Amino acid sequence: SATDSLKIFISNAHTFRAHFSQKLLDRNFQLIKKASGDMMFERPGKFRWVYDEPYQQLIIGDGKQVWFYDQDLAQVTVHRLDQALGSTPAALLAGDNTIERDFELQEIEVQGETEWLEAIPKAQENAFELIRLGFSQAGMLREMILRDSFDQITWLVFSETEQNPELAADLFQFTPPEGVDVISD
Amino acid sequence: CVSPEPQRAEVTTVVIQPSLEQINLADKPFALVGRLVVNAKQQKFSGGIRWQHTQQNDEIYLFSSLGQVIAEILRDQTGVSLTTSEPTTYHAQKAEYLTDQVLGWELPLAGLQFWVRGEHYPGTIAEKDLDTNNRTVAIRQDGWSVSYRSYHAAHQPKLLEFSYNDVKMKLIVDQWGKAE
Repeated sequence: SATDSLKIFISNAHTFRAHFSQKLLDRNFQLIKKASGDMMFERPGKFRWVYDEPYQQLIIGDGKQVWFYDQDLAQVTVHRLDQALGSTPAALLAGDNTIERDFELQEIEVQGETEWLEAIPKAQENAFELIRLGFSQAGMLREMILRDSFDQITWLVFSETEQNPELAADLFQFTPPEGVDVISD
Repeated sequence: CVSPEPQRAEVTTVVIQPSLEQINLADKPFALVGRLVVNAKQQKFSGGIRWQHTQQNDEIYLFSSLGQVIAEILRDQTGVSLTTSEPTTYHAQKAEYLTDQVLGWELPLAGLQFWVRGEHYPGTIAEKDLDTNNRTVAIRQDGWSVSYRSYHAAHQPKLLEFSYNDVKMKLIVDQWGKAE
């Protein structure tokens, strides 16, 4: 079942990497924006989320903070990890037991060969009202759907997934480049 | 296709007198998706913006850099509402006042709906710099200075920079119109 897959995923996948394609849909499921790139994480709290389409953006969780770097804008924003936990798919996936601790988990019907799990946040201040995780029969994470309080939907599809790859430590470190404006909130 | 940066050298400046009836005539519907950075003294913002504009109403979503909605701003004939992610909803007559009160920085909606298309707001006097192929390079109006760094196409700017006293803003329009 998807819940077992999640538990196995959290306990077995100490590191993980995948290519992702992302769609942002409005409340009528109209496409707002498409994006894609590569993601990787190392439990707990370390992740690297690189958008290369439609433009360069980098989100890095170094275990304490979450750095967001937009190349075109020459802008870096820093968030505390706990603040980002409830609002970033990467932080959720890279958490130790974030999903089980902060969310009620429910199986939902199987669509095709993907097994789905629904995660409803226990606390209100979570940015997402609903999260769905889709696993293959073999227990590999395939898709993630997140709906926020304005019914906007982020739909992520993972491919070229790899569990427990060797990941260099500096992949999860970030120092703002020269001349870039840094905002911390 | 991003056109080259307009040259600074050959710029002609025109001063445009206000003409109130132009406010409705010059108004054009549009939809855009982009990124917005605001550097105000007491408050900063960096994230995404999605904006659908018609003469009757505006629907604006501001996202955090991590992607979740920070504020939904809706304008219609009766006024403007701003809903945060709590959700809590605030109402006022003008988006400028509402954003300043709730977000700590002012979104100059009345002017921005024209500036974003490379046009001046018809309601007040404006100074406009045009380059040799008659494209808007800068607009100075109501204390705001707007610079057009690059364009997707005519009337579809891409990188705009704004300043007003000590407030600096940068807007990159990534997408004009509906997503294909």
